[in-house]
Amino acid sequence: MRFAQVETTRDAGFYLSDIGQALQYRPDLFGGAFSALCQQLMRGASEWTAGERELFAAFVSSQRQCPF
Amino acid sequence: MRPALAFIAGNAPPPDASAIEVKACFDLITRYADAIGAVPHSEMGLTREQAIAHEGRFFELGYADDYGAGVEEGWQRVHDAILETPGALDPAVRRAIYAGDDPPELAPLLDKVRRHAYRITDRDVEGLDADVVIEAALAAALGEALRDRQRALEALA
Repeated sequence: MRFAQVETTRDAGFYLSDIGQALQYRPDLFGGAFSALCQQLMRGASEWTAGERELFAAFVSSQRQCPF
Repeated sequence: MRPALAFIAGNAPPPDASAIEVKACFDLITRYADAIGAVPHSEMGLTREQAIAHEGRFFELGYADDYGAGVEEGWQRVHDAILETPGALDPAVRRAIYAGDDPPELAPLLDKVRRHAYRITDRDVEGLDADVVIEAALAAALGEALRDRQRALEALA
């Protein structure tokens, strides 16, 4: 992680991914609203299963050359 | 028939908005992840088995307890949170970045956020306040993601 202040669980005694920590950091700015939207889009009612939607997401990440 | 099965059977289902919405979400989060230098499990010392177990727990738990109030309202909440929440950058500056009008001191970084965020390095953020980088990167990434989403939804209509 490029910014130490985003590492919200560094000393918490458990592991949370960098993305998880980024969503926890200043949740009013990003993580709160974004996580609720993701829950709706990735786990809510759809003709596509949650796994298929996760595959869409992995494909987008790979197209962006992002490891997540 | 479920669309994935129809596809396998050779009957490509009509395009729907699901893929567009997922793409918009991950266009945003991947650019943000690259801007802050988030690294994958493999670089955090986790074994393959530990990483799979971690992702499995995440898959079970989901992203949030709250499903929100609808896709359009969900995007509006994300938009308002990123652009209007008090922070290091004035909301007017964040709204300008969202629209593509960058402050000169942030323009090189934000160009990378939009075009190829994976190329961002520590040198690109040297001397910049972390919250300035975070807010600016989120505003730029949101603008790109929502403009792409709008074009795609219009193409489907």
